[in-house]
Amino acid sequence: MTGDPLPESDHVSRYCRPRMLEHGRPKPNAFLLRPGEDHLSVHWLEFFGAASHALAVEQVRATMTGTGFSLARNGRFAVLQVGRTKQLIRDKINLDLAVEHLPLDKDPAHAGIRGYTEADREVAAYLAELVADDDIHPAHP
Amino acid sequence: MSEPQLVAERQRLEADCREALKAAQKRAAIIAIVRRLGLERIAERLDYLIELEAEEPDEPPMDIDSLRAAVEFLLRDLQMPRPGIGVGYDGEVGYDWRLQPEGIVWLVFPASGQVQYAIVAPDQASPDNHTRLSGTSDQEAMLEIIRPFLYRGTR
Repeated sequence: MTGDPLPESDHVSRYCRPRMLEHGRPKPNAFLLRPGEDHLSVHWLEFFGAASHALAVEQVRATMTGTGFSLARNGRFAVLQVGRTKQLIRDKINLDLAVEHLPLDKDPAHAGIRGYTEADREVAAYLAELVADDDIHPAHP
Repeated sequence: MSEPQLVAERQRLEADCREALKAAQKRAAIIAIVRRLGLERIAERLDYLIELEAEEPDEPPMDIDSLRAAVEFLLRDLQMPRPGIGVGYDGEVGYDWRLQPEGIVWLVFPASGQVQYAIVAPDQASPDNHTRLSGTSDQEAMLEIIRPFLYRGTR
């Protein structure tokens, strides 16, 4: 249902534009909200029931391109674990993030990270720090 | 050339570059200034970010005045550790430094000339606590704010 919190042990992927990456790693601005946005748009990986994150990300790619979104050749997907992300931001900034299922018509695995604003640059900086090399997948196979 | 002559030569070059930076009408001219300063790796990164625009033609290109502000910041201390460089949704240039052993200093250069910043890093005296700073500043004050963090060492 729209707005359901995702399980703490589950994961979401965030598409990172090439200009927001360096050496394949996302920069803080990949996690910054645009003015007017009330959540960071992500995809719930466990929704696909895939055997690995890499396979789930393949499904995310297919879904996004199916909705007309153009994935750049040098883009990447960064994977975040729901519980770890919320815990980090709670511990470091004392801010309670919510990671919610926000399905769309043609994008049923769509989800969002809520609880911060475009002004909360520190949140974006911590999220960029949280992504490990193993958590990054190419936008094109 | 003697040491004082070298210093004087360097100061002339930097003054020339400051003037050229103000007058530059194209991004390529600004990147050429970066090269004149001997910052080839930064110039290459900026060239690459501009090349990437072809992949996302619907996104705003790197803003020339933001680029100018970012290079002006470099000119304030050419000895500072080299930043990572990215471009935000609005075409604004950003610098970031990943700190040792963890933490980030992140600056964004809007065309206005002010600098937006966020710094997250463990306290050196008490690593269980974190320093968190964010806001907007002028360039000169910004340099003083970030200097102690940058000299901790970067990754």
